[in-house]
Amino acid sequence: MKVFRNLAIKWKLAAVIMLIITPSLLLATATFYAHEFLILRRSAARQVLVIGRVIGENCTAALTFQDPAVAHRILQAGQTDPALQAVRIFNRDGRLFAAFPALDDPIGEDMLHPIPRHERVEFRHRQVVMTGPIRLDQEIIGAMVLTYGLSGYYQALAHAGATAALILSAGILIAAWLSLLLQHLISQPLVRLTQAARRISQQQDYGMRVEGEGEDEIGMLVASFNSMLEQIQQRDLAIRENADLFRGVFEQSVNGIALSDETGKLATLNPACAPITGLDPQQVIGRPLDELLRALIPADASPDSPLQILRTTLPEFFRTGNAACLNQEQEDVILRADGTLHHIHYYLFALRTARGPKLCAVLRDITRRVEAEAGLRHNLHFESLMLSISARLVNLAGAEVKREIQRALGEIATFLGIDLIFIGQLEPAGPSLQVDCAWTAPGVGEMPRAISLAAAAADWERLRRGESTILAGDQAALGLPLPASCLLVPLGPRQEASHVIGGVTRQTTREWRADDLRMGRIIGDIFINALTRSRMEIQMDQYQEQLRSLNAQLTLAEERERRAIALDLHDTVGQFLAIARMRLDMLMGTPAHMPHAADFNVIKELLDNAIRHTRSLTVQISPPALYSVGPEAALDSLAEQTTRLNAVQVSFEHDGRPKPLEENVRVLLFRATRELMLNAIKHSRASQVRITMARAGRAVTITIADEGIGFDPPTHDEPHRMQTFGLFSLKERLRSIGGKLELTSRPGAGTTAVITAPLQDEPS
Amino acid sequence: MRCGSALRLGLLLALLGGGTPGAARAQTVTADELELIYILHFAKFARWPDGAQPPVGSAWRIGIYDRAALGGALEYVRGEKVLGRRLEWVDCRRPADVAGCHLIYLNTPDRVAVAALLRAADRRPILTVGQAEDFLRMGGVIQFAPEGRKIRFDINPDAVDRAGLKISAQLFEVARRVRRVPPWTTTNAVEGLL
Repeated sequence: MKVFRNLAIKWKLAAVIMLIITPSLLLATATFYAHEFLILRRSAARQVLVIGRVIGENCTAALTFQDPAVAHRILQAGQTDPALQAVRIFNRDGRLFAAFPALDDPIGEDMLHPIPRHERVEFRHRQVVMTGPIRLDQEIIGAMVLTYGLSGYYQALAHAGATAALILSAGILIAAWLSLLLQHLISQPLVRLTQAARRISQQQDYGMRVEGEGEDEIGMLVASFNSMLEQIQQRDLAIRENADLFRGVFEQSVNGIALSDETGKLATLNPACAPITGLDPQQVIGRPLDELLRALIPADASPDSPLQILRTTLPEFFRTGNAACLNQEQEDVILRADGTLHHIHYYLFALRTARGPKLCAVLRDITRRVEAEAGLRHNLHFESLMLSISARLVNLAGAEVKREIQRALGEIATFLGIDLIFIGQLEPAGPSLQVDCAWTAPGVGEMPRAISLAAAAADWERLRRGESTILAGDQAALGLPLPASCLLVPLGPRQEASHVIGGVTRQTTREWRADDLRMGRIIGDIFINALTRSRMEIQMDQYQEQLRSLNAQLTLAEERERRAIALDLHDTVGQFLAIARMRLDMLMGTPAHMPHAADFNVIKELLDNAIRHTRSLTVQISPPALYSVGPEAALDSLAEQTTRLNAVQVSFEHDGRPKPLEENVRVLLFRATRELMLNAIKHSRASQVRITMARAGRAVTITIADEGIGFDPPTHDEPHRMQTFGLFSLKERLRSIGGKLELTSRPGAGTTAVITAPLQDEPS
Repeated sequence: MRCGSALRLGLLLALLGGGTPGAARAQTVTADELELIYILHFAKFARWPDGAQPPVGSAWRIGIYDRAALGGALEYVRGEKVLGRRLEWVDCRRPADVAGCHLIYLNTPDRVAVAALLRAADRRPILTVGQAEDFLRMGGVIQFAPEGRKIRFDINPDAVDRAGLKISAQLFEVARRVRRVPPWTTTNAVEGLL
């Protein structure tokens, strides 16, 4: 059966056909032979019966008329049939009547008893014996026994067998020939199909097609095979496209991609993976992941690091297909073959295939990002430190600035990891530095006040031109207290650098970076600005003091001028108008003015008005009470006049305590109170303004309060800015005398202005 | 004819031995009885033309010239049938008696009577059997011819043909002689008779 199974299909078909046909032919031949046997046997029996009946018929007369000679003569005719071996005729008594061969032949018995009533044919060995009655007109008149040889019968049977064998052989040969000839009809398409399948299997060419034949099952099989090929080709194309796509993504990806097999060995990795991991694909493919991970994980890595956890969970993953570290973005550090540490970001996921789970890792080198983040954090820290230092320096002045700078230098040196930092001035005359501020780490020693750059004149020149310089290891030349590497960064205008900030470290191999240079410039600028600002503030204070003095003098000069004008108005214009009024009164007392009384009245009224305006103007320019009585009387008069001339009730109150004020202070207080009151009348829409004056220690306070609409805090919008310009001027003027102005206001809640001014020193 | 009866009886005992319907009584068969048996056997080996046979159920008539001479021999064959028909034995002494007979047995040596009867039966389907001399020459079909101890007989095919009968070849085989004898003319008959 195994041999048959391995046979080619055409031999199988031929064998099957022969296996079907040969038994059929054998059966047919056997049937034919059996049929021939039966036919011949029946024929022999029939022939014996016929011969017997003929002989019997022919012998009836001989028997009837008891003439054995006639019977003998009839029986002699049997000689013509060689197969007729013997015939014996018996009369009705059973006695032998006639025989063939002759009666003297010792064949058979001479008596037959009983006489058979029916014919009977009996086959014996190579002969058939027929026994039967001889009748005449339905009456049995005798009997006969006929022995017939079967040699002819057997010969015919042998001929039939030979014929059957010949037919069988010919049939088998023809069947074999036809099977070999016709099996092509079935086997040839199958052979072509098999050959096509083999070629497709070997060449992976699914574009091949098998030529179809007919619409039978084989034709349908070929059509189905072609259809299947079409589907496989489409699927193959799709797979190839996907494979190309995957290969393209795999090979062109900027991310490293590594894929294991199902046994835990590295199956492949893309080109981007090698530069990230430093692994040589030729050497690592096929090696266990555990071994590769062990080589990649730094020796000092924590047992809880993601890669360590991954390594410990690998067996579980390849056993179950699951692991806790899957489908998570992780970051870790790897040790490359060149000894450098790299930060990687990776993502692990499982590819579940029929052969088992495969581990896929997508990774990218994030060393630059990590470094950039560290740099950014460093910068942020630096910026924060600078802001803090700047904020501290802003509110300082004078020597405090220098002390703060020295303290800040220490913070910066600690931040930068250097041992010494200083700020100095470039000596315009020669190659040396004058150290302004310095900070040294413990154990470094004292920073010299001056550093000679005589041995590095070229460096000094570069510094002067604004080029930074690195000096390394030459402590004698630098005069520094330690063997060091020094970065000198020029500060100030380019080509005209005036200052230098220097950073010094005992790491003589330290590589100074552009970032260090940038930070140095920032630090230096901040400190130089602080120092400059400090100096400028000192100068500004001096200028402001001078300005305030000038302002006070200007105010006093103005007030003196006002007062001179007021006195002039009062003493000249006022007096003239008063005299003119008196003269008019006198004239109006005479009868002569009667015809012009109306005109005189008009002139009188005009004069009264002029006198009132002159007095008012005098008061406005320089109220006399301010000098003659004091600010309380002047303010009281101001309130009264303002109430009289406006629709606003202005009240004034004071505590009655003595308030010695210098003249300029007194004048400024009056002017400021008047301006603030007029502002309240004009803008507050209040019906009442209350002015109070009180002494508070060594100062006097004047409060101007209304219950008007109030306003938003100053500098919120342009109109307020315009309004507050006057307030700003007022504040500055008050500040010049050592006073101040405080405003409190809210929309809808009124406004309160408080003027504070120092009292004049009283004699003890 | 009567003189040879004993001899015939011996022959019959030797040769026929119960071959007839009266086989059980063969030892008592006379020569006349044996001839009657032969006559019945002759009828079995002959065939009459269509229309000459009586219908089934009718009697098959045998004319006997001298029934008295047969004595009790007729009793011996009483009840026998020929061709499935019962037998009717009638006298046949005159030519007119020939009509209606299927077989006539002229058991007389009287040649004139025999000749007259044979003329009456000529060309009629009648099987004629006799023992007279020149029976065949006178137109008879079968003539008994004793030969030694045996009873033999001769057959005249010409008479068979004239009677329109068919005689089995087997009967010819067992006949002593088969002679085609043309019938006598009147002259010949007279001469023959003379």
